[in-house]
Amino acid sequence: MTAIVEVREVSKSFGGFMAVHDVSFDLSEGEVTGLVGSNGAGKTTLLNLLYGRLELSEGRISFDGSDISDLPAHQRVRRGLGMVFQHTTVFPELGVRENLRLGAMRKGRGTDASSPAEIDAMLEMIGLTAKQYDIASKLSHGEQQWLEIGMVLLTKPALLLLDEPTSGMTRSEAARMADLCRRLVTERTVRAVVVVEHNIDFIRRVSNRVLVMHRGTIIASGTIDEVQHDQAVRDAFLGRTV
Amino acid sequence: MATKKTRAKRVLLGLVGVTALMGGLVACGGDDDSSGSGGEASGEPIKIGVAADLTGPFTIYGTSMQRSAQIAVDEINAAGGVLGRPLELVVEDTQTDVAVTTDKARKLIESDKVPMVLGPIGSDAADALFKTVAEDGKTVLIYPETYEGGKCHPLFFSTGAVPAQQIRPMLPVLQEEFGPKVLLFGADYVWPRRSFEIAKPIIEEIGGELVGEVYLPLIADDFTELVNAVRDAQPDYIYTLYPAVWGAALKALEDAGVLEGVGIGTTFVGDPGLEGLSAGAVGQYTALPFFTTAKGDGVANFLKAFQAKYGADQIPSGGEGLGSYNAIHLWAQAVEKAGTTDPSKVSEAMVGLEFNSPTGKVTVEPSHHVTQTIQLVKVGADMKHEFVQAFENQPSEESCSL
Amino acid sequence: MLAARSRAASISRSRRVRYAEVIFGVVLLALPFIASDVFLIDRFGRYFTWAIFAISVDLIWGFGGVLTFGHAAFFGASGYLVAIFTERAGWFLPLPLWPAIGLAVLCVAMFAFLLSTLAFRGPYPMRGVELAVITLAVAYLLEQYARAGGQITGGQNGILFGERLELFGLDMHRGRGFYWLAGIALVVVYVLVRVFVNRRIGLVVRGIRENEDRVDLLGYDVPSIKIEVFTLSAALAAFGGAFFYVHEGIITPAAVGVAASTQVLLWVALGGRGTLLGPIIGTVVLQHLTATLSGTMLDTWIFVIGALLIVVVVVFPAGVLGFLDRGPAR
Repeated sequence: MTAIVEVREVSKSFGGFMAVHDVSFDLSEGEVTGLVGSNGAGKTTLLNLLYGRLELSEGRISFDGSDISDLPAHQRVRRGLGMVFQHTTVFPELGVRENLRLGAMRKGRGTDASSPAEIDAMLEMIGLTAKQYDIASKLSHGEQQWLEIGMVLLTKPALLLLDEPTSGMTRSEAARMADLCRRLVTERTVRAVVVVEHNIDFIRRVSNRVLVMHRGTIIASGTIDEVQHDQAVRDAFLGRTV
Repeated sequence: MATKKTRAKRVLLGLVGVTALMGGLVACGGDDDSSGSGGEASGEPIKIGVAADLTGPFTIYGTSMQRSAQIAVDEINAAGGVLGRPLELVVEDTQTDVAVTTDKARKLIESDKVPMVLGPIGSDAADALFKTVAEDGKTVLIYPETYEGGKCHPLFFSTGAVPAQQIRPMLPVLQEEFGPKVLLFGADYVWPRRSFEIAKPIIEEIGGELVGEVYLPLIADDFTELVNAVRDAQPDYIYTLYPAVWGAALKALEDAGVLEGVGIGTTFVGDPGLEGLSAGAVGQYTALPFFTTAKGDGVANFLKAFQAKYGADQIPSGGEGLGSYNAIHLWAQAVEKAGTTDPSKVSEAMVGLEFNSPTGKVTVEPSHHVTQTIQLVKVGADMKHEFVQAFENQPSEESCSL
Repeated sequence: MLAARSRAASISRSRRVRYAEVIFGVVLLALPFIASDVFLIDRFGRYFTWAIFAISVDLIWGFGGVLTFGHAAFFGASGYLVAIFTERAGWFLPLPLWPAIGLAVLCVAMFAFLLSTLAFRGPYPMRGVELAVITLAVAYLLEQYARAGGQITGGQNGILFGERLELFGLDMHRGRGFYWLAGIALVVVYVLVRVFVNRRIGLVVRGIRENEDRVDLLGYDVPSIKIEVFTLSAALAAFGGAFFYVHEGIITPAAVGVAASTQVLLWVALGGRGTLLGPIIGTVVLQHLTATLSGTMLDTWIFVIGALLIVVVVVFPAGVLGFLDRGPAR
């Protein structure tokens, strides 16, 4: 499997504090990668480093063979990254359709597809056809998550990063989300997905592979079953330092 | 959750409201103040427009102007009015704002159709009004404020003091007391600059010596340049025209210790201007048309009338108060003489008129400025103006020929 | 069933705006025929040029979400430039009126372009309060320069205009002529901005107002867009300012200062940010009330206006015409 993203010896320190330390991994075509770990393990920081909100202290990241370590966020987005945030970031006073259009219209990608048909199709996929003219702030939190995903998907990302996508969702909604994630990859709508999650059921359902983080490093990687039986992981979660 | 009906109602209400508002504005704006346009029937009041800064930084002067004018109007009406008709003031607040001044002036001229406008205060507003009135050609403009002179138009009159008539009597007194070396200090704009241009030949004539000339922005907060100039030039006295923040400049000079034995002469500090001045002002001379301590029976009566109407602690200020009072009286006289309120006829009738103002005789010159009495005062130890001398019949020396 | 519900929003946003536009258009056309007082009509012309200024602020603030405390710098600077180009001599000066206006607008736009490039793309990109303070500083500095500018700016007393507003031989400097000139200018500006905000770029601008980071992370070049809108807004303000000051006949330092800049925020906020029509109404109503009340209520007008402002803010927190912008987005 070809690697889309290569992360090599990446570190990030804030003052004296090492949030992420010497992390290396690949993201491969057609994979959904779960990123798990307890609070403060560095998952969000790693995600921020991936999409460019934070600068690397050390190491490098490459995307499709070219080094993106120094690229600012919006340039990485243009190269094909898409990011869905934990704290929903839709456009509150704009309508649902308008939110989606902003994703579809985005320049600099050649596929400047903002045709009504494409919007309609996305509305169908995220289940918001009935509320297409509603103002985004009137949607429930879960619906806003869907809206945001729809918006980002319309930018046709190669790599999709999701930060706690099921927070605030019901079990059935989470199941729908999991199916969507898998479909995105199997239908080649996106080339790879990274999901940060606490919901282990969701991770199990969605990911090919899991990376476990603890105190800024990756302490285990493999399928969900493999890592659950990993000694290092058990030590970490039972409180014994690694 | 708003239903279809309530939302529609709300929208409709809003739109109706907006329309009503616009319609109301038209009605409101149109009818306000545009009362009867001077009918020929006797008893119908003659309106005079007053463009006064009643709010904003020049409140004191605008209020003084309006009140003094009112005193004059009351007197004239008590004596039978003008051409058998009473005078009435139409007062507009020009808010110490040039844009508002032009707007209000136009309103007075075009909507109220007044034959005469009194005002304004600031010289930038005066430029604007001069232009409006001059362009318009339908109204007499009388400017009651001390200013730099130089305005010339058939329909324009000035009853305020102009530089020559203030400087000529004052400088010899200063030279006599302090010595011949003089430093000029002013704000950087037309009034001080022109005043100093007029002062220079006068200084030469009386045998004085110009040792420095300093200009600072109207509202400066750093007076180092001034202090250094005074220190280097060692003048015997300073003639200053720094109308906005003279107190701050004075304090700076005082603090720097350069005021020892140096006299000060001004052509702008009226009675209200004394407030907030530091002790360095003691001994400061000012030449203006009016002070409450000015000598003359007329002064006491004028003050009495003013305070009776407006309060025992109220005073007209040093320039525009008397200027407004005189303006109303002069204009009224001219209207009587011309037999009409027609602006060009009244203007012709104004020239040569004499009026016994509270401080002495005022004569309207062919230059459309006035020959008048200039009062010279000095700041006493009690920080109040003491009368020094009155100089009667000081000509404006303006070279406007019409 | 679901489709029927979504169509249940009674009058859609765009239709509401249409109705309001029609009503306003009718009033605008009718006014000179209803009112007989020429001075009043002339005054409304003035309000219209101010309304152009208000629209320019609504564009950058109401739609773009960028607060500025110094926009009068553009409105007034344009006035100064037109005055300088038509009243001063030397090089290629003096210019005739209309080329002077065009050049003035261009100069102001260029200055705004440089300023916004520095603010949005420079070494220290500015947001929110920082930017608002910078615009305040610009207005303050311009006012100081105008006061001290001596021969060029006329210093304290400013510059008097000799030119009159004339178009194709018609004198449009006062009364009905000026009303129509200003009215047409206002309509042109309104249409221009309305078209701008209805296009895709307009949606992105509104997105930037709502959530600038999100727009950036969808891959848009946010600084470019902000610069574009800021420059356009400044150009419109300059356009309005040129007309206003030539009509006034005089321009003085206070014109470019802070006070003038903050007043316009009131007109826009009270009328309804982001509605374009709201700011027009806000400007006209507030300015007219101030002008008329200060004539009839010499001592108390300032308190009446203050009280009125408080009442409006309480009853219409989104501005009097704020409802135009609310509800389902069709």
